[in-house]
Amino acid sequence: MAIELIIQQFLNALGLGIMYALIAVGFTLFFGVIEVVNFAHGEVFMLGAFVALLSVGLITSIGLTMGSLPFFLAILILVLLAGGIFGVLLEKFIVRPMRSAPDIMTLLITLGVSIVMREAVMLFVPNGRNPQPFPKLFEMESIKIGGVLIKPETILCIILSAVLISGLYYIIEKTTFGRYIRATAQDREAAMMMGINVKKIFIITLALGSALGAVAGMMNGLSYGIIKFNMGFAAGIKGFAAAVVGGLGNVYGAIAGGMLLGFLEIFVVSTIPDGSSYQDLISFVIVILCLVFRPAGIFGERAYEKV
Amino acid sequence: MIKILLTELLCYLLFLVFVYIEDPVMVTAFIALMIIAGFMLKKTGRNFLQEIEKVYAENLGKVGLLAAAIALTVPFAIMGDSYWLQILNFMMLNAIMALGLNFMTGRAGLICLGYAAFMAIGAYTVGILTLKAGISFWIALPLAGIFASLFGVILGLPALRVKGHYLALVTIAFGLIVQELLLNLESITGGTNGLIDISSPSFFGIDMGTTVNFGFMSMTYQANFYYLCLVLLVITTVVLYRFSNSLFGLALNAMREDQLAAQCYGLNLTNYKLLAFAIGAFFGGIAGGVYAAMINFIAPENFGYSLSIIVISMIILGGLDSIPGALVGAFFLTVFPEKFRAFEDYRVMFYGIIIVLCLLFMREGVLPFKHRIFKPKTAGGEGN
Repeated sequence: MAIELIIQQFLNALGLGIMYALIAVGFTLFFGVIEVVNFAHGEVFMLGAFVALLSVGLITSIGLTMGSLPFFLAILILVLLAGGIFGVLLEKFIVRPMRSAPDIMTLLITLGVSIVMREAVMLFVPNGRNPQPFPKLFEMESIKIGGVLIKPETILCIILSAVLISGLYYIIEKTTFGRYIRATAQDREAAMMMGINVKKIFIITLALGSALGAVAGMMNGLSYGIIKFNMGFAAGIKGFAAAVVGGLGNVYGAIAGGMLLGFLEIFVVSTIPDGSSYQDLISFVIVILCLVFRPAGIFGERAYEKV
Repeated sequence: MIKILLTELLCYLLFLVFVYIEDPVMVTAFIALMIIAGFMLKKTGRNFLQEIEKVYAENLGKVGLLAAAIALTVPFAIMGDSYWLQILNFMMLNAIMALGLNFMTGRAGLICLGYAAFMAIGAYTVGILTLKAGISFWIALPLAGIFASLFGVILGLPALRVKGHYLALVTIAFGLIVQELLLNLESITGGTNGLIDISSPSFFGIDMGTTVNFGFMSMTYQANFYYLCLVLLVITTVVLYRFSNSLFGLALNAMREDQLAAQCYGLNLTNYKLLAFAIGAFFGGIAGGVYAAMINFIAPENFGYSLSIIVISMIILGGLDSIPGALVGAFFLTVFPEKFRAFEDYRVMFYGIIIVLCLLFMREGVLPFKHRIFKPKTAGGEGN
């Protein structure tokens, strides 16, 4: 295979993988800290994309020109906020009332929420049933490296994700607040006895994870140029799969799992003839194999190291 | 006995009224009235309700027999309306699936979010066997169930090592894999186009796809399938009821509550899990097989994720692990939306809202599972 093609595919895989990683981080945070698996997390991804799409008009009306950096940052902040607010609402109205219920009930209720959200977007967004073209939120020159034309969106997504993941790393590892989160993940009762407001930690964890998922949705719109109401389903499944492959509860495992899935998908699509029709199957097969042979994930031996 | 007959006839009457009223405003008023009446009954008529409940619980066999007998008359009572017959057929197929899923998820606690895959397997088994191998429907139908069971066991194998959320993920993945395979194995399954012209079965020389003549009234082919579905539904209910009330069912309950404790009591979890999957999947396959023969056309998109969700919402509404609950859930969630066909688009959202509201406010469902009461065999035996 030509070297240009390899570079191109490598970047594609990196872009896809980091997107999965952003979703997976949410799953793993929720599981590590709150001990819930949020099946509505995939819909946050979809929500992020649609918030970005619908806020284009709003942001241009306050005078920012489309495609400029302030414009892009404004949209990004809106998307982060929308994800965060959704996370808070989810905690208050769904996760908290279900805390005493068996696991299976929490799982089913988040599933119900995901259906309601998906259908609501389909029904109430104008022309929501059909795929929506996603605008170029940030104009960039195409980049050429050694004759290889690289899509600027891919680079943008990779940089943005890298920034967000480093930000998350900083919050979790370096701030007092991150220490609270880690403490809650390690032992909820002990954390409460140390005076940590666990309820607040739950809310903020859900807000944090959902905000990251929403940005991933926006990035998906950017790199593919098209969004649809049902995009959250596959994304959610794959994000969850990535989190499981990396070991549920382990943030760095989730990032690695996302990367692994992204690279494997691109590898299969680009090397196996007619591979694209099996693209979605790959992650499912991997996750089933992983659950059968290494139920704790690749980084399972470090499973005690939650968050 | 007379109480059972009267209450069942009352329900039947209400159902017929519901079928016959057409105006959406009237329908809404009727439903509102029913809900208000239900609340009033719960508030003021507690003694009456308890009495009915007791009578029903003591004479389950008679209750079922009477209900089945009443159900036999439904095609005549609705004047052979083919549209409503078809809805009732779907309702019964949904009920068979809800019962199967209820056995897996409610009784054994093995969550399954890919149940539609079993229906798909059953439908394609019947479709392929009757179309390409020319095998009779009556042989293909049990094979459809057995084949679905086989896939249930295959799904059960990874499920032996995972539980809870992981199992949910595996079952979703299973459902999607089956659907993708149906789409991509074009030479066998016909790909996106699906299988067309699946022949209707013939019953002792009578083609079930033709109009039936009862002498005083002739009905479209749906009436044939109505009785087929009814027979299958009764068999399913009885079989699963017997399974649930056996020691085997109790073992599955024990496994659901605490796997480790169940293991400590000497239960072989491997066998129980695989059996629960196989039995639950069997009925999904049967429902799929009848569906294929009834509709004569199947395509992969008929068996998507949303179907799995619909079946799940039925058992949540009825109450997990409750057999009457699964029946009632299937009835309400299939029949009620039909009166609001103007809001057809909102249907899936309605199922989602039902799931959320039920779990938030009515976790046990409409007809909660009643804990079995231990009855010592000898009069002098000590309880427990």
